Amino acid sequence: MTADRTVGVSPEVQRRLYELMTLMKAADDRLSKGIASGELQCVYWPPRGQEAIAAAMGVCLRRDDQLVTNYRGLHDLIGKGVPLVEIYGEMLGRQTGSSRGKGGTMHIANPECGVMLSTGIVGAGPPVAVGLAMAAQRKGLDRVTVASFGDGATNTGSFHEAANMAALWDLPLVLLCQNNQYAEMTPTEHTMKISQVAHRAGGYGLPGVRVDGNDPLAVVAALTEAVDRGRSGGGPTLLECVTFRFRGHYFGDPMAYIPPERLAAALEADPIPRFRSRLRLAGICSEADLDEIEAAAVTAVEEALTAVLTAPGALVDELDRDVYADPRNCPA
Amino acid sequence: MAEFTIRIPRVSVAISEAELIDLLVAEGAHVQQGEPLFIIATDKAETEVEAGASGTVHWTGTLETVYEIGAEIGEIRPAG
Amino acid sequence: MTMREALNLALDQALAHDERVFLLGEDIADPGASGPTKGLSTKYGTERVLDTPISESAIVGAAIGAAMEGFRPVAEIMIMDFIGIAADQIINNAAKLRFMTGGRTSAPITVRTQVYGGIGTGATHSQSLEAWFMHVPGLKVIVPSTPRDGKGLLTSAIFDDDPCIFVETIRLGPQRGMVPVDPGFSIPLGEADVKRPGSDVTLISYGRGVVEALGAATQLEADGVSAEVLDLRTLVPLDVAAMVESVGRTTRAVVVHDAVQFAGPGAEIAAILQRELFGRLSAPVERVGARFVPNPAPPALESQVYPSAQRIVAAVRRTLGLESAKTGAHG
Repeated sequence: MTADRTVGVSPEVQRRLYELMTLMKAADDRLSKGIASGELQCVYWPPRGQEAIAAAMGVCLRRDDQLVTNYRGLHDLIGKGVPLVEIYGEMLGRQTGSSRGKGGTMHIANPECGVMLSTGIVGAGPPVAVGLAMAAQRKGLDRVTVASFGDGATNTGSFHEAANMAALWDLPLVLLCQNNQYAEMTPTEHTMKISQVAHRAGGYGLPGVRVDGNDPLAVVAALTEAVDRGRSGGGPTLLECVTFRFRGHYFGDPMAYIPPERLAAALEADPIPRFRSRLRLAGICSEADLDEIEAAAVTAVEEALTAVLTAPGALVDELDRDVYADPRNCPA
Repeated sequence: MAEFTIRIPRVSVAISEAELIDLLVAEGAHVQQGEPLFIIATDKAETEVEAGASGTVHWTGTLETVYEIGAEIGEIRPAG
Repeated sequence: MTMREALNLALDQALAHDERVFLLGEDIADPGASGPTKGLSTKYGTERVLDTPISESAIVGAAIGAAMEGFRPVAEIMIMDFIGIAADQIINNAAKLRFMTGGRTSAPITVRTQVYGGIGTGATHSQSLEAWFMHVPGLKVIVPSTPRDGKGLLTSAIFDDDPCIFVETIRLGPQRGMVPVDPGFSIPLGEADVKRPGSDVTLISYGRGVVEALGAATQLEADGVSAEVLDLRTLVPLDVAAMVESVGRTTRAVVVHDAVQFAGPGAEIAAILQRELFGRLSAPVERVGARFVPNPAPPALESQVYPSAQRIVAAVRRTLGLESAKTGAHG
């Protein structure tokens, strides 16, 4: 079933959504340009096209709510408030990175912002999110945990195990599937018999909702409902947000496996220009406001990147830190 | 404005080296940021690489040579 | 021919030669495929080159079931770090079926996987985990270093009656070499290969380590030290005779591998050598493996983790008494 009811979202929140979406796009654009020219050297899994979902998370979640995301998480991280200097710093191996440069693109975490884990392994996040939600429940906190993953992850054993446990224990957890319609190089319809990820929810005894992942207001409406259900002890939700990723699986992916007309249709549904015109028509932002928001995003990205490129690289003695709590336990 | 170091770009995940197969801008010539600058080949594909900055090009890399990803093959000196 | 092309040819010929053979794994069919399976689904159809959902446990489990029924499936685990997800199927089913059923069933599967180490992909996309599977009775573990060995060993693995873990290495992908194109060409499992004869010390390795060992041997030659490079090719079965013969001659040994040095394959090899050649060794067996640390993402740090020709030369000099015998894993 598709949730198309659009709850009244205040103008301020709608403007905030656009600010987040443009910052995510600017961060992706600059990174992609830098990697393509060889200026920036790192691996990268671009989320370009999926910004509406992460922006909705940004406005729906409290700072103390927790997020488990994955290697395609640049937008989720920005949505949850991780400073761009930390994200770029970690991707480019600088001491200013969230893990002082040694973890890399796929493993960015910032507990202060609630980002507890980014996994490099598809589907590995949801079980950890179960644990985080269980902890909140046991502490009696009204904190919610969100696990963000793609359609491919819902075919992993770990996803099924997590969904079942979450339902069984009525955990405050939102299983947020960013269905970008491709699991790596394979179209979703070739990886599952059912037509909607949300239909899987019935199998675990938790509600499943499917929304247009390119419409930030639709995502906000559905996510608000899921978060409120979790906070009030009503248990978990499987929220499927249908979207697309414009730059393929990994940066440099020639995307030979995507039919041109399918990509063209997806580009047509780009969430950012669509939401921009919506804000203008609703009179929430003028043309000038929107230009200003976009310019501010580019400036913020340039400032962050400059700070990171002038920061020192990760130290070699990082190799001797954080392997064990007490380094003396290192056998060799 | 500092010189821009031209490096072999990370055009994919599962690669460790690439071959420099074509220089599209001559030594000492000017290039505009975003214009095609050189072509590399991995054993999977050929990729045209754009200039990361504008200025005059000075090559240190040589054609038909296999370089590690990230290896320096020249620089772009900004005009003036 | 490159290693990737050699492995592609081995898979191609196996598919052509034997109806029982089929491949399954994530993104192994065209147009998504980019590794050794590229082009094969176009040639043999998507029934015999089967793209699967991201479900490593079920991928290997399905391969086991089909193998029990006489098929010869070749399952791919895209990156070795993902093999943990399929570990239960490998360790508790594939490895033990023959034994647990008194020989009434078996699982002659081949699991191909690729080590992404050394290309800046970080801690969970770079590990060399072959030692895990050496430790499981019932499994064979194969790690080719050259295109020729890759083709010959993969052909043997596919038609071997025991479950085989076939470990490929991304950094060896572009490696070139002469490869026999005869479909019948295969290399027996359990046969080491002297890649470079020598008399003063034996460098024992496999996979990418062989490349570093050969580099070290060249440097050592300039110092007047003759190093033999013995490529094990398979870790199980392990060619003990070849190791003992070579080290018996040179009386010195350095074991080299990209896997973590502590409790790595080199530990077993060193234990065998000191037992078989006790009293005839001129120096303790040295090991040069990866440092005991999750792999850091930045290339500048990651290069400090793996064996290098320089670290191997230092270890050789220790066996020659030319350098202080430092303790600790990283020489």
